[in-house]
Amino acid sequence: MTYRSAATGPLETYRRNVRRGLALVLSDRTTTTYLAIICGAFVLALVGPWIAPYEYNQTVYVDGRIHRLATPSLAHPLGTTWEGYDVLSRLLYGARPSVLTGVLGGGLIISVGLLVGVTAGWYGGNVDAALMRMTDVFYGVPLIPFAIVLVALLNIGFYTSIAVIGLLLWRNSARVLRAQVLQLKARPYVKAARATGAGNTRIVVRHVLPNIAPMAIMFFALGVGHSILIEASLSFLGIADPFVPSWGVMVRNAYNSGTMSRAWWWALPPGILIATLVVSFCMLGRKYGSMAGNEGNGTTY
Amino acid sequence: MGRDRKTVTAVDDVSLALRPGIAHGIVGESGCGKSSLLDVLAGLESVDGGAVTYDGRPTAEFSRRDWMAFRRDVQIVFQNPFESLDPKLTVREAIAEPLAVHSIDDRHERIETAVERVELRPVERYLEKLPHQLSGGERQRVSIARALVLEPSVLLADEPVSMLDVSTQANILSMLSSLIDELDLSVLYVSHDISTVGYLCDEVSVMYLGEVVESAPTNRLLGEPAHPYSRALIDAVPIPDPYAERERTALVGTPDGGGRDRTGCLFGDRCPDRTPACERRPEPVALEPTHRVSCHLYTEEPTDETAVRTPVPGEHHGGGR
Repeated sequence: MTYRSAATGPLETYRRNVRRGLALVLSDRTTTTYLAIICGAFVLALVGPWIAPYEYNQTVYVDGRIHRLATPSLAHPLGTTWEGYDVLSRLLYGARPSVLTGVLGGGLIISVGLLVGVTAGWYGGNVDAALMRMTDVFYGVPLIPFAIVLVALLNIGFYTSIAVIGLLLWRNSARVLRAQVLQLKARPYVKAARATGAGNTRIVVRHVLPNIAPMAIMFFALGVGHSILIEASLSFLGIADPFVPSWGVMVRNAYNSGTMSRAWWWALPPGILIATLVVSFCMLGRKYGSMAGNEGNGTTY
Repeated sequence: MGRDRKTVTAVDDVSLALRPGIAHGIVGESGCGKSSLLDVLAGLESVDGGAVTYDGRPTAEFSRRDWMAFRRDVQIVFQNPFESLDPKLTVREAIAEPLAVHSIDDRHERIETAVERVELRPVERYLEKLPHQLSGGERQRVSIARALVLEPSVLLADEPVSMLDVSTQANILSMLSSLIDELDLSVLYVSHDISTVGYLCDEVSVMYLGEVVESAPTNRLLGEPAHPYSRALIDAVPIPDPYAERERTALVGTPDGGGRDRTGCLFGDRCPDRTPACERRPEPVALEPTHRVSCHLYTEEPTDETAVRTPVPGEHHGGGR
């Protein structure tokens, strides 16, 4: 249509925003580092199972006996577990479920958060009141006990535990995004768009979403970190699927074996990886949120 | 939720008529209801009681189609240059939006004409810029271009230059003034600054607490202000001469002192020329066919003991304040 040929369509704007956002992240050394760590985790999640020297549940035998709790060596750079599994291989396999939990959980959090927050903020009135009271109810739900009950009812499964995380943790983002929309609604450029006859959909797509995007990205990143962390907690408590070898399940197995104090090579690496990944997501989200918030809002040139 | 709703009356009883090629100014202090009035006129807020009529028809009876025609014909420019443009949109995208809303073709040409009209030259240097790459004055010009790209017949301007520095103000005002003649625009220009209003507008209404207290052709209002409030406003305009002899404005207080709950004249609590008659709300009086004022100093029949004082210019700071 003529819309696109004039190169003023929303797609062009979104593409430019992504370009500028990425340039902003890469303009700072700390955010670049966090991004690199995250990319590394994604690569591991993608190729981990292929480059792992052993299967994640392959017991290694030496002289016909299970090679239990071997200290790190050339053959097993991170040693072996009580069951004789290669720790490095389990770590490589574990990247995928951990990263997947994060991305799906974070995605669910921000999707529900945006839907509820933008709808409440934009339409206001009773819609706002109803949605925000619902959010308050979700705020009242204690996460871990709720997850325990729900997962018990729905049976333990990898995807159900992600769903439980995502369908509870959207509450923070919904509240803050609603507040952002309320602010934007009163901005003169939004009023000018209304005065010009632009409809709700157009204004939300054209003005509201691009301007709350930095905040939404921040909540997505925080959500990813949170989801990974809570999945690890649920795994550690034994409420996640024990057959999916996520990093959280590894820590649980090490703990349950009763040998955690001796076999540091078993429990520490997954713990460190969880912490690094969560910190990277959260710090990237926070830093990006504040950098993008400072940029182009009229106070700086 | 929903209980304890308070009604705040921001604007009351304002009658205005706009005509092509004429700029009508509205002046008043901050908080007197100027911006609310513009929101109502732009159809952004609804009116309770009273009506906005457009081409002889009340907007309350508008169909969707009428609204679109109205929105194409009536445009608004806002005060704050830092918030009047979407920080995420380029100049081209911002100006293209109204065209897209109204499915108008040959956008390139129209966008360029609009940018040309607001004297951002060369045009190509500005089209792909983002708001943070522009100065305050340039942003306001883009806002005006966005408002003019649909070739409206009515332009509502909410203090479009009040946040700019003085030299930029003058440039934009003279540009606006030639655009009004060139495009035969009806302009409603709202400001707290009576000097910019005097520069641009052909006629002026003075607003106090949501009501128009005086309206007259600009020269008449600046030369012979009738309402005590208008006189105070005009006295407050700075004169760029440190040795100029002048009288200080006698006004104290702010216009929120419970004024709206008063049964008498809204300005009664601050007026230097207050009389007992001011306990009643004054009716508008026509001093000339085009000069109307709402003040008891000019009402025909004096009420019993109160003698009407005819004010002498220059002697209006009585009251010992």
